[in-house]
Amino acid sequence: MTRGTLTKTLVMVILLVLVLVLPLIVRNIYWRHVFILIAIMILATSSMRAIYRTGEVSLGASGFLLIGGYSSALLAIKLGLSPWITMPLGGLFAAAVAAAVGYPFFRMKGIYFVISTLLLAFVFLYLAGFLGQFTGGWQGLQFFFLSLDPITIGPLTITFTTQTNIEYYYLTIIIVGLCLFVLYRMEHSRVGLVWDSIKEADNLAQSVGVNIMAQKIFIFVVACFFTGLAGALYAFHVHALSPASTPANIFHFFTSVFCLLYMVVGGVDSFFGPIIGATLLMLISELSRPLQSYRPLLYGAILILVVFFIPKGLIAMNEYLPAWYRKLRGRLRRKASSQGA
Amino acid sequence: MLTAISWQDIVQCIINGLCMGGTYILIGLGLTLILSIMSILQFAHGEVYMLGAFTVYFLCVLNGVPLYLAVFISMLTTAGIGLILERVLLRPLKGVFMSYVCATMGLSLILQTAVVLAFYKGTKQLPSLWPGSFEVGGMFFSKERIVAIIIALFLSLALYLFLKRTKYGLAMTASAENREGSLMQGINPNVMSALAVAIGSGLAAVGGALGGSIFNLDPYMGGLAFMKGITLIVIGGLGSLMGTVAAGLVLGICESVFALFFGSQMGIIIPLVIVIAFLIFRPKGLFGHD
Amino acid sequence: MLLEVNNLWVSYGGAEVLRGISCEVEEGTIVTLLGSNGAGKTTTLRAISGLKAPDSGEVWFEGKRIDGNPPQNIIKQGIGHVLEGRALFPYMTVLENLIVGGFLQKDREHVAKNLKDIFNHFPILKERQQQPARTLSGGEQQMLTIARALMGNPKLLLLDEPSLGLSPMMVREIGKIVQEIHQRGVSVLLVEQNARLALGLAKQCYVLETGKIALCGATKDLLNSDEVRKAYLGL
Repeated sequence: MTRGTLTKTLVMVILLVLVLVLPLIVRNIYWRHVFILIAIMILATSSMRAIYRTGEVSLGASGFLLIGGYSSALLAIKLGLSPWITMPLGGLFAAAVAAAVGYPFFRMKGIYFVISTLLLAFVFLYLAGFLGQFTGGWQGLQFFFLSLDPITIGPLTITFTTQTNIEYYYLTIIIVGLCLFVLYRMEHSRVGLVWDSIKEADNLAQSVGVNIMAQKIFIFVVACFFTGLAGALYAFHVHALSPASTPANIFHFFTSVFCLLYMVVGGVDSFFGPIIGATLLMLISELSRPLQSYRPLLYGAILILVVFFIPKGLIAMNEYLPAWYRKLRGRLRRKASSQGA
Repeated sequence: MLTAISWQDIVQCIINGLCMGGTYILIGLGLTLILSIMSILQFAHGEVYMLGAFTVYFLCVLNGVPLYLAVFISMLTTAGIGLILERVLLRPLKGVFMSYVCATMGLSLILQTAVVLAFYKGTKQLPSLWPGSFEVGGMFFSKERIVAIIIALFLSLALYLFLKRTKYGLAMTASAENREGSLMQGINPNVMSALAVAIGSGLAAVGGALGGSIFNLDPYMGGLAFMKGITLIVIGGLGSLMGTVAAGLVLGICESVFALFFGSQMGIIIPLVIVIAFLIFRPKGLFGHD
Repeated sequence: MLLEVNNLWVSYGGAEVLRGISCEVEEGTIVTLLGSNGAGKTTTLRAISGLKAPDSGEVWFEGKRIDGNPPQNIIKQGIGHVLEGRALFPYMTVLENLIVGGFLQKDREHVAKNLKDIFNHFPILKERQQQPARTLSGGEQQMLTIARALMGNPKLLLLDEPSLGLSPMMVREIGKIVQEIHQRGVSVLLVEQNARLALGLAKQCYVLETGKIALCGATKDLLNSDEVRKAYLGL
């Protein structure tokens, strides 16, 4: 193994260990809740990135989160199914919607795709409020009584209560981890294939026998499945869903914008970009709770600054820093020489 | 719900619809101008609309400037802000898709929060354009809504004349129809972009003022306004001024009619679904060409 | 020398299209640039009018260096460019197209005079002035795009394949128009695949082959050499 790979693997192992022991270090239930949310957003953002790598930007994340969240909750409440079953079903619902709209959406040119996903998210938000009989209407849905059924592994019985969220934390980490693994594998196979073929002309890729459209739709469906799953994870964590059009609601389209932000800040070219971006920004936002009302403004400013100065994201800092340093040195040198002369 | 809907109701409904349509048109025109000439979708355009409305609020309600004067001033200052926006944000980034999408979304967050912080959340109201109503044949018409319709149509006409009869207007139309051809006539694309954003922003400001006066103001009104703008340009067709105006009036009336018969929620969802349908099946819209 | 191109290198993406070409246009002459498809003729014109910035080399117009400037500034110097594929404003009327052609003219009367002039020379355009440009026939569109460029009173007109897609009769018309333009004192750099048409008009000739000037000289001399005629000009 080269030294580079060794360091990388070491870093990953350390982070993995950190993630696993976190709830034991962090005693505060609120902060564990924050980390659970971060994990959920990492999943949503990574999914958005997978779609981005097919050449389109999707702002539908909030809509698919909603589909996953609501369907898993409603199936459990109305049909009495166990949340263990309804959570993946929530993901499947989201995937089904993605499959339905995939073909017509991907036929559209760039900006139209973005608009369509945005509108789709809006439509679902309104439907959630409008279909009151099913969805609890505009007040939203609360189901504090409903939790995941306890599971038994060998001699160990794990119960999920709203009192402590350690178990839920581990559940979330495991699920998100698995999904990220799948996304990672896809990244290096299909997604990479699609991305590279976009660099060449689409025609070229088709002549090689790769059905680009089908690949894109497949990736889109999988990404939306994960987003729906993330929504289901959210639902059974918070036990309350709402179709309100306020920015605080995760199903408001701001969330899609935030995912975009995390993706761009972290670095859109790297698989780990969304992870870095989401973790960093959400932590900053939590740590600056007193400045809560300034948060969107800060986020907006960060987006603009990132896009101007570090468009490749934080992960490319190792490229930017030496480049800036060189520029600065060059400028100082020129100044010195012009003064000396 | 279907009980006792009188002629009065229907006519009010249509007037209402035309009036809302008018505000939508004022947003949509700017959006389609910017899209035709710069090939970018200005995601913060709804916030520009909102900013125009709040500028009027600041001038008129907080500082006693007469309403119509305040609207006029707001139109100019918002156009100015549009110029700055174009120069600082849009021009450098318009080549890269991801960059301008992120930057305009970031701007929209900034503007919303800035207004919330400056004026505190909660809905507000601008004074009426023309209080009272007048009676024709037993039916009452709200004066202010009629005024709003007139203003919207007047500005649309003004834009039309500008684009058809003035040198710079024709140059803008030309830039939208064939960019390279226009460059070869010595037309400066940056000037065209600046004009497009400035005019679009000015129109949006008036739209915001009308909306704020007839309905109400809140810092988050931009998001919905943006959606309406998108609805217009998709249905009316890209690059078509007339399409935007027609789509605006039709949309306004449809929403109003749906709201009357089926409740206001349907009035919002149905157009969105129609837009998605258009995007899928007829992306050129009804009159679009570019 | 009205126009001087020195050692121009232009590439698109990674691919080199022009590899150090040099040519010149003397004031008051018609010069033609011949070559087959993909030789780089259109790229040369685009580099001159500023639509494509060259990687290296120089373009001089009236003793001033113009390469690297944005197109609107270059056009202002007095260059007109009739683009490949015409680039008309399809939904605008013939009249509106012409008016936009006169965009840079300061004087409204000037524009009106030019318009009258154009209509005298191109009666068909006068007839169809209220029609949208896209409804015109191929030949009429070509006339319109040349007329539009003339509205700017250029000193040098860059013409990109005006004969493309036109009937032989229309091609002769275009030839006549180019000669008339020349007689009014406008210099012309004509890019063509139709060697016969071009050589009938031009005094100087350059032949471009895969990004390099393969041949250059006075048309007379080139036509007199059988070898050159057969190998390069296909005549």
